[in-house]
Amino acid sequence: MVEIVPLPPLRRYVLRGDPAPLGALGLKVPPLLQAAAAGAVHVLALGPDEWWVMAEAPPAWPGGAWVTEVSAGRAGVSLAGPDAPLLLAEGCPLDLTHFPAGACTRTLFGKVEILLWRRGEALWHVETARSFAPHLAAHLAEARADLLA
Amino acid sequence: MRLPSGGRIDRGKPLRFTFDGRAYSGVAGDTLASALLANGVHLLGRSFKYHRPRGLLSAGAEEPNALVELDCGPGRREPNTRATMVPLVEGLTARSQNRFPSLRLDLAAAASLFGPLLPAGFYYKTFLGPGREAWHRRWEPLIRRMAGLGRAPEAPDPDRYAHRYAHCETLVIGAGRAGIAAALAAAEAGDRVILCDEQPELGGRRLLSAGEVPGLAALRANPRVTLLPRTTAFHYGLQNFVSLAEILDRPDGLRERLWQVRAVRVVLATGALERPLPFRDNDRPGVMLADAARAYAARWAVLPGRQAVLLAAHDSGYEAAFALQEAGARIAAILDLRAAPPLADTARARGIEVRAAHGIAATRGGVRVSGVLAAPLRPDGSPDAARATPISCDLVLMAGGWTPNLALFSQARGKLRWDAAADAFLPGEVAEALTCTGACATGRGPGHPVAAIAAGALTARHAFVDPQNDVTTRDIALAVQEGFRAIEHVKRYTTTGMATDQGKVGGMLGLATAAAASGRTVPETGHTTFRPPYTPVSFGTLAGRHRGPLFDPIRTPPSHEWAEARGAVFEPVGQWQRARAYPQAGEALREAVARECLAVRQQAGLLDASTLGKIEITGPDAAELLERCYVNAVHSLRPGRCRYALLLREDGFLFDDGVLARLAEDRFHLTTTTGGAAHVLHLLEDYAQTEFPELRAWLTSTTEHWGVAALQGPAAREMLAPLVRGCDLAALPHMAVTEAEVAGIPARLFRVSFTGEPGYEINVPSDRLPALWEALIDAGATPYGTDAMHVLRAEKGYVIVGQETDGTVTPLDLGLGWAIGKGKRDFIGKRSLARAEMQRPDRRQLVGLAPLDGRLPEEGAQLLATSGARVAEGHVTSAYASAALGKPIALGLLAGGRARHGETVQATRLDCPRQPLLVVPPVFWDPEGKRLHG
Amino acid sequence: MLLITCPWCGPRPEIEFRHAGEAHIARPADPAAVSDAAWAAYLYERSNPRGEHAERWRHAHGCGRFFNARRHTLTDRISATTKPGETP
Repeated sequence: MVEIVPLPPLRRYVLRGDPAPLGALGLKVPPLLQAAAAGAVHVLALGPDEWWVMAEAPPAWPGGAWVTEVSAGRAGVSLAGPDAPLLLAEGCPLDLTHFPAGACTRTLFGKVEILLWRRGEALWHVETARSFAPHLAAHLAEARADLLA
Repeated sequence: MRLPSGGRIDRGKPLRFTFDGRAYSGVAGDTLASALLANGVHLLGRSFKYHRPRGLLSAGAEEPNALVELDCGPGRREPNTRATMVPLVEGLTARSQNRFPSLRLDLAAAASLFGPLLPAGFYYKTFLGPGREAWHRRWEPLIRRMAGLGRAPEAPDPDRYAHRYAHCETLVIGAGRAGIAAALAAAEAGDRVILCDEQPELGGRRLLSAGEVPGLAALRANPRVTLLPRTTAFHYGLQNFVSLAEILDRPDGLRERLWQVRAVRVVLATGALERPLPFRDNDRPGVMLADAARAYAARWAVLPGRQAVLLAAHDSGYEAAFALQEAGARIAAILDLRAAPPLADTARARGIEVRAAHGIAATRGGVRVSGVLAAPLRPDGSPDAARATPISCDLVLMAGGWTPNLALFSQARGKLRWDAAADAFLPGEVAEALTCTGACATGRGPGHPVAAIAAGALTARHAFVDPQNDVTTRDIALAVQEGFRAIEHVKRYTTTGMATDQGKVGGMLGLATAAAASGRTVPETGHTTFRPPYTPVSFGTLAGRHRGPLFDPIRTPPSHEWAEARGAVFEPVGQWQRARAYPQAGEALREAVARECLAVRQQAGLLDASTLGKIEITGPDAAELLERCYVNAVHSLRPGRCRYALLLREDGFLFDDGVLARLAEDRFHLTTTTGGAAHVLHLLEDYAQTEFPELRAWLTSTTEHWGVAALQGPAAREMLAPLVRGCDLAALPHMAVTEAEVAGIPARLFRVSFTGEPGYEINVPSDRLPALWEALIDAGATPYGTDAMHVLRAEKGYVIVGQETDGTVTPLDLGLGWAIGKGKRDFIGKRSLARAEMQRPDRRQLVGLAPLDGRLPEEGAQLLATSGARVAEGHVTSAYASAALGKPIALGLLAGGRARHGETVQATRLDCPRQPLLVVPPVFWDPEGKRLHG
Repeated sequence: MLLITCPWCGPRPEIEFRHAGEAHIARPADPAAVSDAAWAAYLYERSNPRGEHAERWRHAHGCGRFFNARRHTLTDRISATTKPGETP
């Protein structure tokens, strides 16, 4: 069983170089390929010097932070249910049994690069660049339909 | 003939099917092959070249003869399907192939008469005249029409195909006794196990006995074990990445699933394949592998014949004969190639005549075997036909020995080593974490040496080695005689091993025949390379869901919905769909383009430029990174200003162009071409990470965050001003950037132009672009598409990377030297620009080309100095009908072009009439650029 | 499909990566001081060994970092991967 739901609108920021501004937002710097949270603000460490901050409302960035907003350029879906890994196996080459809650990474789903973030035991956040999102959603939907049958 | 009892079939579930239009019935558990045999149908096909009558050779995936066409509705016509691998279902419709008008009466069988003209490789030696063109014009089309076996489907495939990546600690390929044991051991150790088998029922040769297959129940009960019947491992990739094709045939239309498995360990338990034997007319229907006949009786309760002769080179044939005898067949005789067959007495005790050191000189019969000529063997192993005696039979069993099935092992780059004791190639060294177990690792014990078998059949006629491609022992001997000694040459010249069974049937025999013909041993001759797929795989399985609308992502810019509703015409630009133009009712495309161009030059036009790449560069060393990469002077670019920026490759040639805007000391907004966005980012990341790691500068792609509305035209400012807050639009100079609110939306506002008219590129978050777009349309802007954009920029001589450039054009060639920062110590490509070759005055330079005859030149037309010249000096890079100028214009690259203004050159496309073009400066509209600063 | 060990992310499937040419080709510190022949060598001359090959990869659909690898050109075995600037 797995449901696909479009992601709600989120503000997204890419922070590079110096992670110090995260502290100003109350965020601990997570290890590489892990996420951390402070209230409704989340940070994902996608590279050794690359952090993505996601929040429903724009966080109060300290002045001078080397932050670039990318919110409107991203879109995706939430996968909810115990069969999410099986659905993801349709197009994602990773071994998701070694992908616990809190893990995050860029990877692929079929022909599309995705940002994969496991938010909980049975909750996954899958986003991509805006213009790839329709293809991603359609691919997931077709795969899901065959999983359920 | 169906036996009254036994078999792993469900007699309670009868199934109806048709073959070649006739109705038959079978039962659940039958394959199409077993059901046909049960109904006494033995003629199943006609061979590829000679159209010889053919029947079942085997009971499994290696079947070379019984290739049928399945018809399951439009788009579901499957040619070349092995009848042995088709589970019988209600209503199955099958038809034989490669015969006209019918299987029984096939006119092309007359081709057999021309046999001597059609040996392997005949097309290299025959049908070569009369005249030089005879092969291409007359014979090849004729032979091509006759060649081929099945008919490809003509309707699209309506079914779906899934993909699945899977991971496990142990992948076991082959679910016979050895495979099941390996799976159980791995499961016990706690591994995630995947066990696959190409057959619909797991068990391998254990299925030759009745009852539950031991071990399967335990495997089924284990949640960490995945059992995959009807699943063929067809490709062994690097580091234990194995591809499996699972056939589902689900009623809801999910037909197959591709599994791509990464396993820590792989166990190959693929068994061994029985070999046929070479003798004259060994391909007659009714001549089959001994173990196959045994399988038909044991698994499907079908006797393939009532009176059998066994030709044995291996003891396993005796087991088959005894089993058939117990099922009710009469074994007329066992002819053993060996002088002292170990089981001869056992056979005689069962009332079966055994003749040692005997072979078959020939078979008798028409579309079914009716008898053999049993002959003693001469010292050289060949049957002595003069001393042959006829034996009637309707079934000939061949027990030629067993070849370990190591195709996948070989795909894994495992080395095969010849084992003389086993008389087989066994697995040798392999670099993957792969073990072989069971018969594929050890063979099934030696029989009569395969070298001796081959030697004895060298002179036999119609002794087929590769039945599907109609290759005989004589063909192979002929190839060797003609000088093809390397086994890979013998394979390709004779096409043995190149049919859909990929040498499963005749590979070893073909190798041994080549060895015998060339006086070498089998190991000296060596074997050919095994290549994927192991058995044929549907295109659908490989494509998965990537077909039709999901073939490739279709990317659309934020104004796409609006454009669609407006009836825009689109073109693909890479993966993007961009609006070419917005024709109004009754307007032809070129009329729309002309109207849009005029609207921009006279009023204001609106273009969606969102697809262009955008990169934000931040950090204290952002300017330094850009200074080192782009040709431009970057440090001197003040916040709030933009520059036309060029990026070269290290070889000095133009790679990409765009606009570089400085937002702050430590923040830049860089645009790239649509197609170059990812490449530019990759190149800049490369230099930032590996060449200049000391620089604190970082790159972020913002291509999709910003939607871009380009408003261009003399009325642009007037139209935009009422919508702008937070910026004095009148004071914003050309090539400047500022933050502002436009139509209530926070925006990055650029004053830039790609049209030569005053204009703006308004960047807003892409989800807000539709609202901005509508506001500007309401304000009176005319939407224009990429076609008009191309014309407008060409009128100004603005280049498009990839149109005026092709990877061999420098900025100097284009007259863009002004963009290069003066006194810069270094930038990517600077060193190459300094080469003498790059400064030559006769390099191809950007020019304008004005047609003298009013015709539109062709893009790509070559430029000649004179009508009669044969050496091109350049080419037309862009050509358009210019509405603003009322005539066609073109741009091109011409050797030494800047010094040739006023000259007339001739444009040509091969044999087309020459078109005279006047060489002019590459700018047709407002050469002084007065309009831009209006 | 290779399983490549990104020095930051660990083992990942080959399709997440992009090959980036031979490794350890140093860009001349002062290109202006380099002869045409030496510059051409920098641009175009690459080794083509039958054996171990030092090359660069980028974890394009992952962390995005460039790194070095040693791959055997016959067996495709990658024996080592290292961050730029580190020796294996």
